[in-house]
Amino acid sequence: MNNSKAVNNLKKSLDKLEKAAQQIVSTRGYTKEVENIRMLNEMIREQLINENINCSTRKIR
Amino acid sequence: MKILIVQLARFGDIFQTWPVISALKRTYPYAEIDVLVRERFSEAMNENLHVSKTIKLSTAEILSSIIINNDEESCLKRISALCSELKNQDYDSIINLSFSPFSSYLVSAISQPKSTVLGYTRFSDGYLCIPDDVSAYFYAQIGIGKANRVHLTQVFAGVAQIDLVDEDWNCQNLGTENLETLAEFNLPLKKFIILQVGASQEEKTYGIDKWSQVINHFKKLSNIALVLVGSSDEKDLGEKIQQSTNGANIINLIGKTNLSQLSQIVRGSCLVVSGDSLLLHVASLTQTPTLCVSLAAVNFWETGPLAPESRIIYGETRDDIASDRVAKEILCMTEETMSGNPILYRTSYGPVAFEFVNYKFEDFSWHLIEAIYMQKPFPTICDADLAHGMLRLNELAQLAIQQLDEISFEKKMDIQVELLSQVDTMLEIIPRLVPALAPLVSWFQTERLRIGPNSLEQVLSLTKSKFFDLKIITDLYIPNSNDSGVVHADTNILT
Repeated sequence: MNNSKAVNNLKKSLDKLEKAAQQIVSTRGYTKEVENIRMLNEMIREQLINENINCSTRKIR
Repeated sequence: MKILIVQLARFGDIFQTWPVISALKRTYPYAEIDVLVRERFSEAMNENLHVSKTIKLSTAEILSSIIINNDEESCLKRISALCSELKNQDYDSIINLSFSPFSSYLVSAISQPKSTVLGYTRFSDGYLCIPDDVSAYFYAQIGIGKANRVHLTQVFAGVAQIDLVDEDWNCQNLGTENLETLAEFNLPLKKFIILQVGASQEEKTYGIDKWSQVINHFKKLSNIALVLVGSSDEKDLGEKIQQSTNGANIINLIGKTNLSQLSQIVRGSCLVVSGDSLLLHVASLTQTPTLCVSLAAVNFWETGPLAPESRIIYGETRDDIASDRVAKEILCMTEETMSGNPILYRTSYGPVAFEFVNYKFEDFSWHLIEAIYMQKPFPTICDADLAHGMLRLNELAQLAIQQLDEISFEKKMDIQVELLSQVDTMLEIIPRLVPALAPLVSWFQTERLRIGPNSLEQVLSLTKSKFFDLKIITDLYIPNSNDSGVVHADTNILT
């Protein structure tokens, strides 16, 4: 998870998924699909801000 | 009864969850208790006999297709499969001890209508849902730089709605699987001290130079062996220390032990010396006295050592803690005497586990927390900025209540809406200007956050009631306000 390509890919997907979630919310409201996307987004964020650098897990909330 | 504990933090938090698992098993002896942990830290559950199943969350596996070729669809399928698998377990109770956004979505996705959910989850509209008061306490008051003094293990127990008793900390099986470990490393039972010089974060550690100085002081005081432990990527730290501490009785095991062996070594030692680290939490479970050298990067109140007789030496920075003082404290702990220096002493397994010894320390913010959450008296104010900040909060609460009263859905309400928005802005500014008031504002904002999806009228009414609560508290500090007889702040300051 340390190489820059992996980080770039994670950031790219995060952005894409966030837009997709917003679009679904604006048309169909908060659905299971959105819940899964948001879950995946948070998992990606944890990688970007938590596991890749040395801050404590509890900071992300 | 099936219980799932979601603990997605690291080694330290997983070990701090052990007493909660013991307490759950003691309370519900026939319950099936599963624990969801990250694969990377799952080893910390290996020796827990109360757990029926350790479920491992592999982040790397779930995210692999994004990392390789930005294939989000495959990741979503894996997330969906994970949720279905967990949901199909049909848990009666899900206890989320992770306090992270990811865990809140996960818990929301895997809970059944009949499940009791404790800890963070999500409302039906996707907003963060904090169903229990202890999780709300965590959200508002816990973390680095905050005034909380409640130990994290007690917070976990509070979320699980369970009372801990002393025996829950005594995890007798931890560190007993490899009885040959002490012999393997030639360690004499209860006649050596363990020293962990590294930690997961550089800012948590006392530093190699400082530890070397400690050892050089200690070798003049005692010949008890110091056993260095740590992970394999800390091997160079051990070598550096050995080079700079000639003549010291050191056994360097850095990088030579696995977690199970480490637990056994901790159990076999007479004392553990460490910063905020995994070792400290293992020592709490094996009841090994610990000296923790704690810096500002950690809130020792939350994660300090809980084994009886443990002590903490605290300094904002490394330079605030003299190395000879640490060496002397180590010696005193091996001799079971007091050094006379300022320390924090572990006094109980209760919510606040430590007491100041030879310190004079007043903390308005902590007393404010005690008053808000623990029915203690509200602290008096002896600071002009605090009095001023409290007055402004009271005015904001009154202004917000007035605006909320005036809001009607039949006509335009631009002024009221704008004023309420300004109140929100001021509520962010005040704790920055008067940090001692942060616990009060944080409590208030968290209570507002807990208002769930509802009709607009209901949301307005609930919001108003929260502002009333804020007003009631701040009224206590306003001269001549209509209070319930609680002792006032120093009114002279306000005039």
